[in-house]
Amino acid sequence: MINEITLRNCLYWVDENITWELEDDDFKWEVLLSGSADLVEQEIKLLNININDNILRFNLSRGSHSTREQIIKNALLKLAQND
Amino acid sequence: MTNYTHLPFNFKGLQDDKYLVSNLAGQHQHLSKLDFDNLIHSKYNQIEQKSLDSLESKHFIAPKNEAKMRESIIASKLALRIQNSLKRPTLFMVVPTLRCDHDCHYCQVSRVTENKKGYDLEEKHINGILEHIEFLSDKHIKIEFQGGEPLLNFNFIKNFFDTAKIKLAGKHIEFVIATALGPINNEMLEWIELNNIHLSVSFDGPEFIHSNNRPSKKFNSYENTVSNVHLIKKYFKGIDISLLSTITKQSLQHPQKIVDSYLELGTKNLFIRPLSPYGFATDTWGILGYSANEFMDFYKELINYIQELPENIIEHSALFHLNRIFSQSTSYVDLKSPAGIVFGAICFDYNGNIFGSDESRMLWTSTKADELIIGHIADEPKNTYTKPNLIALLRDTFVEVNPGCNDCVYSQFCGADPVHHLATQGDLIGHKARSFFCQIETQMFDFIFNEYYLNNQNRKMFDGWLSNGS
Repeated sequence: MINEITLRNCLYWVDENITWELEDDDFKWEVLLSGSADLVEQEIKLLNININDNILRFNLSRGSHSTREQIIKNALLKLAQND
Repeated sequence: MTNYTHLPFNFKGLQDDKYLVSNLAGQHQHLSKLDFDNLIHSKYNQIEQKSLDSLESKHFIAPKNEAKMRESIIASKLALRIQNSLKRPTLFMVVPTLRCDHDCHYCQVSRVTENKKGYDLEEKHINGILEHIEFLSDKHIKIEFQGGEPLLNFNFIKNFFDTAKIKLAGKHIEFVIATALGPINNEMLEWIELNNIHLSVSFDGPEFIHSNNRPSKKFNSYENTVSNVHLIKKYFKGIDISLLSTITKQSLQHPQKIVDSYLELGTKNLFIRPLSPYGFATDTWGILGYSANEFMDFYKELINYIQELPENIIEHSALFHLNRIFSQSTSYVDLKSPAGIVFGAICFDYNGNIFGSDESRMLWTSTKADELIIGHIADEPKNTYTKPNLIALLRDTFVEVNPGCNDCVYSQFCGADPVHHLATQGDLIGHKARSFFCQIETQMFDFIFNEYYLNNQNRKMFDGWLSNGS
């Protein structure tokens, strides 16, 4: 499963010469890419890799995304205390 | 059987079905797809024992009952890494003049013609600059004279050097002159050798590239550089001279000829750098510029050629990246988080303005965006480095939390370069998918990790650089 934010994170990396739009119904997302055929083909491959990676990230981040943020906050707090 | 849990990490698929994982502690691990899949799906008992031990020792996984303690260790390591990036600057650049005897195509904004009046740094500012350096620096510093062509204001350099030796007597100072060697003569060279001053010289490769990139109305710039480098190496052996090469579109087809031209000059140290996009007219970037892919095709060919040669050549751009990866070095200003503005370098311009980097100076010259100016040489040092515009420049440069960087596997080794993004996209963070800096650095790290872990010959060469060249 992938939500809109995760999908938009993947679309962040789409080449600037490609335009894209998102369409959704209740069950699935549809991404429409427009541009030159070669570039669209290349970007579809990259987008699929990004989507798969982001699904893995999403699964990994159950609990650990906030852990990452907390580690960064704690590091900055330690630095502030040492100042 | 230990009951493990995973700690936060970023990842990326590399060549040959391998994966790289990295974490906030600055550690990385190269994994087979099988081990990576087992890590992702928490099948820890199926991970190869050697990888499992390494993943635990590098804080990618931990026994469940140790997870909180390990998170605290990662936070301490991250704090230490940030602290290392926030050390006092060690590089101080001084621009004695903006005048230059070259008309380099890629240097449109930081030079004026040789005889133009009003572009020299006045000697009355020497004491002020030294007060700023004294205020900001620790014991070991480098002072680099930049230009224009700094040798066109040689008296300033001599007076600055003499005054610095007195005013900064307690410090260990390395002096460098960044020069194209146009105005050099024996008297200058004797003084440079006597005072143990280092020369940093631009050398773009064979004549058809160098003279085209760096023309001069006064002389054949290739012949001038080559003959002077030979002269220095023959008669002024005490002068330490380093060469660096800026890559233009014309260079891309000739990586081997560029390496050969360095060997012909008797140097085995290369520093290859891509073009900076500061202050270019659109048409000039069209003539000289290239894509990140084109640059990296060139760069890979160059590195592979170096590896095949019997000479032990070092390419220092790769070495900076290797040092960042394997010893978390923060000595390369481009690869720092937060960014190296002020904390990496300070630049005193010919007109008395102070900038947090040479790139800021170049961008200000073309845009006159005054928020890039940190202060003026005449300002009190203690009131100069806490101004809101400096805080604003630095605030958004923590790569670990920047959009597009926060989940990148290379964020632990990369830098922010806010001035690049301000120059190219109009904001300090930038959209990384459109960023030339991000494209170059991502491909650079891809290349280095792939070569290090999958190509024994290049790994051996990189290890040699790490042990001898750092």
